[in-house]
Amino acid sequence: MFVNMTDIDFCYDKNNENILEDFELNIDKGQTLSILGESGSGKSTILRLLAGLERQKKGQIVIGNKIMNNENTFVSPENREVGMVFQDYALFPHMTVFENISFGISHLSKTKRKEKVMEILNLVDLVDHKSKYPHQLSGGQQQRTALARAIVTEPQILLLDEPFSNLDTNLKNNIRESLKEIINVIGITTIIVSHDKLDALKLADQLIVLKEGKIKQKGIPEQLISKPNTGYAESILA
Amino acid sequence: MFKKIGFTNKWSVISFFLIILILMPSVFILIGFFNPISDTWLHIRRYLLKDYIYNSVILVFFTGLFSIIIGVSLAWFVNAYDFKYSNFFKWGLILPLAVPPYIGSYTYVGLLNYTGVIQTFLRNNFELVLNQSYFNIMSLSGAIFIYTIFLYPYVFLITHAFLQKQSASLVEVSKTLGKSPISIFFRIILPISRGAYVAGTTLVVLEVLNDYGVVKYFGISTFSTSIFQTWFSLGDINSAIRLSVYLMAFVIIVLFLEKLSRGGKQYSYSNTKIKPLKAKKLTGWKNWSMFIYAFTVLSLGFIIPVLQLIYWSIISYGKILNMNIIQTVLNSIGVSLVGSFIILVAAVIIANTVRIKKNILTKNYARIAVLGYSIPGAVIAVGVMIFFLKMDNFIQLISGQNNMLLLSSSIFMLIFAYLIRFLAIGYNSVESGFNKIGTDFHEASRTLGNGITKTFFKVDLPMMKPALMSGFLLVSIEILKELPLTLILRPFNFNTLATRAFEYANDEMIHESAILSLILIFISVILVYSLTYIKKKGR
Repeated sequence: MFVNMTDIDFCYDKNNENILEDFELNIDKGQTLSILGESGSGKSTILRLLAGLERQKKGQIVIGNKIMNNENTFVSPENREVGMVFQDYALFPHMTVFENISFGISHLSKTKRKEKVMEILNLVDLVDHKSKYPHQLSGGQQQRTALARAIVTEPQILLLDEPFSNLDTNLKNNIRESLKEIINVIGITTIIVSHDKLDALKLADQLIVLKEGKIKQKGIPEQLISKPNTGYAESILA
Repeated sequence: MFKKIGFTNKWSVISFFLIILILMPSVFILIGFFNPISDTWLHIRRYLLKDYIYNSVILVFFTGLFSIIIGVSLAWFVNAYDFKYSNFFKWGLILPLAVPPYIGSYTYVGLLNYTGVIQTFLRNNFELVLNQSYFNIMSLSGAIFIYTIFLYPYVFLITHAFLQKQSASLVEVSKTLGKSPISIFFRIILPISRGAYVAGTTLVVLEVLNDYGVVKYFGISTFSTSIFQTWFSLGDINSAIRLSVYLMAFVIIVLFLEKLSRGGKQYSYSNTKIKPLKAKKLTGWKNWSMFIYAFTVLSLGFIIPVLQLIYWSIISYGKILNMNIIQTVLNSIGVSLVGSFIILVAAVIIANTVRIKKNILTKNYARIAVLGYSIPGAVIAVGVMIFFLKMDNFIQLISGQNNMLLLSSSIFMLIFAYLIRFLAIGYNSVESGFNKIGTDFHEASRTLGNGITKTFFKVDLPMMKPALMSGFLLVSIEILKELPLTLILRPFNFNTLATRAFEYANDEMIHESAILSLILIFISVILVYSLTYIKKKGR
């Protein structure tokens, strides 16, 4: 397994109940997994744990054969080689599109950096917008910039937290298509958190339905949608 | 073990040591409280303590009350009504904050005494010679007037900012329910803004308890003056420590009362769409009476004292304008720039640690960082002095050189005291800056391969510039005006505008102190204006 979460317990506040309990997750290399669930079901927490933005109470996280977090080890977010697209994109407002994308590869030489950024800009179709600031971009362009920034570092896995929640319905369909294309081109292991079943149908190879930190159903999206095994899964996949 | 107590990066290690350093003076005060009781203390407890408590309670209560009346009413008027120059008054009414109360006090004494402008005018033009007691401002009620007129802006500022964010619909619905403007003010505005004006009044009360200049000049015995007197005139540091502990108990009661009066009174809107209040245009006598009220307060708190200082400066500049004054100005600016910079750096380190590492330890960092502002200057001075003397003893022990006062005779002691006293101001600004930008940008940068420090300099810092700038300006203003700490802890022969102005006034050389006071006020006004400009731009 390329990504492996074993026996994870997690809560945000020590006095509160666990958000995740004895949680297990396995993903193969190159696979795209979609996590579907209501607000508060723990979807985003899974991404934050994988990115190293939170630390679990118990259990182990392995990415690409390397232990990222267990009782004795903690690899900080900057050393995990994980790309993440945030729900609100978190584009640095004081940097242009070009600067935002090159931010994560500042250790490379100027020529190499420019070359890589231009390559990614071509991939996400933003070459003409490279000198613009985030507030000068449309919602879809902002999303593609955030995606470009996340993948330019060539991460081991790509995490997308509600990537379409800030887009209107028409735009969503187009962006989904182009996102799928980009993921396929770079062949990266991807986890998408969403509450929209269409995201899973269009993008994912595997789908899990999450409720209160527990996996209620897992499988290929089309199968799950046609045969939900619980009332909850049915309501989520309806 | 280190990881268990949160030492996972450089930021948390530095924060931990900063917090320990900040706590040290308070620890020494507490230890000193258990030293043997001296005869001086028995005398103070038996004959004087009652006066200190009585005077402090009267000053705090009435200054608080009058500050609420003036601050809240003016904040409501400039928000709800469009009257003559109301836009100017929105920031103009903050100007009295640029006049330190001790400067205000001797200006008013000079204005009202037998040779002052008012009595001279009455004698020369109307041959009126009035009873001198009518003009005696050097009393408890005089001190209440001085504190109120120069400190009410704290209440005004916070209440005004709060009311700006309130919804017009509250007032509109009250009107449709048949309520008069007076009824709306007392039944709607006053209750909803309670949290704001209680916070402002607490600042006023803490300033009153901190003050040394006004009460010393007026000859009123309070905790601050008695700590100075016991320490320097009677040479009894242990009794000074005991008085400091009593004063801290007083402060804790004030803070407890604040919490009690704010408790459970935080209202929030059930709807996110808030239409701000639109000022109602006033005409006729209502327009003029609002203008006269605001103008009178501004005149008493700023225009009259400044005009008086300008007049005194004109008649005394020949005597005072020399190289020393330039040195004093440079000292003031230098110490306030260096102090503000150090405070901001400390605030950034602690606030960033609190933001990144959320645990019980860092929660307490935040509490300790803001503690100093509630500790009066005289108490901090006692604690810092003891701490630095102990450190000097330690250095002497190591170096084998007796009589070497390396730290306690240096400017570091003063800057360290500023750090404790004003860290809260810097910390609150930095914290609000961090809250405004949230954690997403920081986290995005971390996932892109940057550590905490690189992320701070490349992402957080550029986005927080306005917050850091306001924090810097706020702290600079406070250091510039600060008196009790500077008086006690400054190195030998080191003068600031505040200490020099106070010394001249205390030596009955009021005219001579005028230029220094004017320069101090002028710099403060520039800083206050820059602050309102940055905030306006930020909005």
